[in-house]
Amino acid sequence: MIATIARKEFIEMLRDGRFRWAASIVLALLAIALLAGAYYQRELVAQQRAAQAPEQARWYAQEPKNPHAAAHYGLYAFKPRLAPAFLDPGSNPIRAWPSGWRRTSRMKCCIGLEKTRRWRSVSAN
Amino acid sequence: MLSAEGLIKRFNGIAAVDGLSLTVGRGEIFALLGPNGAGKTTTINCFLGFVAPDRGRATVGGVDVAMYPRETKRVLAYIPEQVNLYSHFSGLENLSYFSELAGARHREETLRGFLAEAELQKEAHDRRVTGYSKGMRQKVGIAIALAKDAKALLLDEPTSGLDPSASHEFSVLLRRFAMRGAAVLMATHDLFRAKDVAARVGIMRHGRLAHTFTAAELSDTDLEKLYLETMQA
Repeated sequence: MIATIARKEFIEMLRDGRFRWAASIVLALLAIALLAGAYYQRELVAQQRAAQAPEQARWYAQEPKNPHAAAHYGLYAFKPRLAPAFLDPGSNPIRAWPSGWRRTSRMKCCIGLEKTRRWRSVSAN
Repeated sequence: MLSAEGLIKRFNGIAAVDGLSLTVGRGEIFALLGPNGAGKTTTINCFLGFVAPDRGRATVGGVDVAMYPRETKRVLAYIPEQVNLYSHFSGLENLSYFSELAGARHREETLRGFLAEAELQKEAHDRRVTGYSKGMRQKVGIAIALAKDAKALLLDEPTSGLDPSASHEFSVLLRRFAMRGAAVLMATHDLFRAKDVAARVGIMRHGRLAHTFTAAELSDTDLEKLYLETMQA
């Protein structure tokens, strides 16, 4: 009997003009929000790339250095913003972004374990 | 099938039904006449189990309504003055829904058969009931009673507001329903329709059954005269 009543209520709700209008408006708002979010995401990624490109060019253009001196230099990079972030950017989109990212590969030396930990702690915060 | 024995029901100390006793047998139509406030609806509500009598008892098929309301509801059908149906559904869907609630699942052809038996036009079966007239709604009510295979039918002012043709059509349906062996108790203001359709007629006043007689006993004029005399007494 409960199933009969539930089925009746569901069909009645679908046929109710008020429900159809409300559902249409909600779906339209959702579509607009998704489009706006996608546009914002694309704009932001483009701005990040534009901001990062000169810094990257400067980094690659520098002369080779010895590992000790290289450890004092770094490259600013933006944390990658993944596609789902436009639906839910997380608790705080500003925190740890951009981060100082020390890069040593150009200087042919490995980044130390301590620096890796530091990067992780910066990312986590 | 329907029996009231010394039924008393008071509201705030005022007796709506005051020692009413009546019986309606299988295949019989009993019409209750009376003015507003005579206790007709309260009597019907006692049979339906909507109202518990203060004294006396109402029984359906020998089963006390107050003690076994669910069991008695299974064999009862009720048609109020305005049959409320679900407006987003067609007549057929309403019939199917109410039948299922009553525990009777029927195939679509069977349901259409009940609607046809209740003389609802075929083209209205699949139309939403928002466009139904009062008479059409009453027919769906009869179809629900048929689908439920009700042993007793209670009606409260079913013909008020119906045009003479629809009222006559409804009387024919009631007679046909009673011929299936069901007891029919109808409260009405319509003297002519009561005499036309019922085998027995009762006139209620102040919660009491003032007169009971067979419809054949009195002419329309005599019935009107007796009714007016009862009201003025």
